[in-house]
Amino acid sequence: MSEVDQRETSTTDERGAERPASRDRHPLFLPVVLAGGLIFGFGLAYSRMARPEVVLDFLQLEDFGLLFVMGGAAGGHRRRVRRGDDGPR
Amino acid sequence: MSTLIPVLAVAELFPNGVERYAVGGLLVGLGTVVIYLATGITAGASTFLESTLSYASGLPQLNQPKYVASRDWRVVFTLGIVLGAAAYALAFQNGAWTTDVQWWRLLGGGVLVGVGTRIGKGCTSGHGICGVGSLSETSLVNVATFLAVAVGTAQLVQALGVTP
Repeated sequence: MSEVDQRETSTTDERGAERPASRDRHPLFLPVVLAGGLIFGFGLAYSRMARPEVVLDFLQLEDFGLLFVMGGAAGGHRRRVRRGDDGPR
Repeated sequence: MSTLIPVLAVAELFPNGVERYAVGGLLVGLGTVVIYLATGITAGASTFLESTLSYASGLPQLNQPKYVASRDWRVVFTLGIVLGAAAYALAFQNGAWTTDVQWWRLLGGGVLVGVGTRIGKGCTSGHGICGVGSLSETSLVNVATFLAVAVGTAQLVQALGVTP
């Protein structure tokens, strides 16, 4: 998948000025984002976290299963991504 | 025999098992990984609000380069999440979800979450998955805080006898 290599949302030129990078994206950029979103949404639904009742059960400490959703998601992210940025945007 | 008691205690914490939760979580993580490895983007969902408003608004604070440059992929990412969940709903259950939670509670909660993600600069996706996954201290603090506040609020509201 490295052929779709485009960093972050903007790039910095040699004088340090920011410019939008949306113009020269690889043609597969948006399809890859869509595929990631589809997997994300399917997983969210499969985990049952999309149901308010399930979230309430967790917050009322009656079913701790959602810990596995967060753990699985963050752990899965960590295993495959060595070191990300300092935080989300 | 002596191992039976801990096993029962664990089962009580997870009345619906853990498999669906874990598999779903791994898929959610996989979605962010696909995007990160291919593009270097930390796939946060909540900035979708400002970045999408920038299509329609001339307000300078909504037209910062970081919003304008990311608004296309943010729309596509959000669309993907909704379509992915819809695909599950259509394929594995009989249509859309319903809930007994009243609509105005969902709306009010959504607004509060929205404000919180703007102040905290990230949501359950950006901080909770990508941030915690990459062991960002900011994100760990953020997630610990919102989980603690959410559990506390839910306990309080439940103790007051409020029903969904």
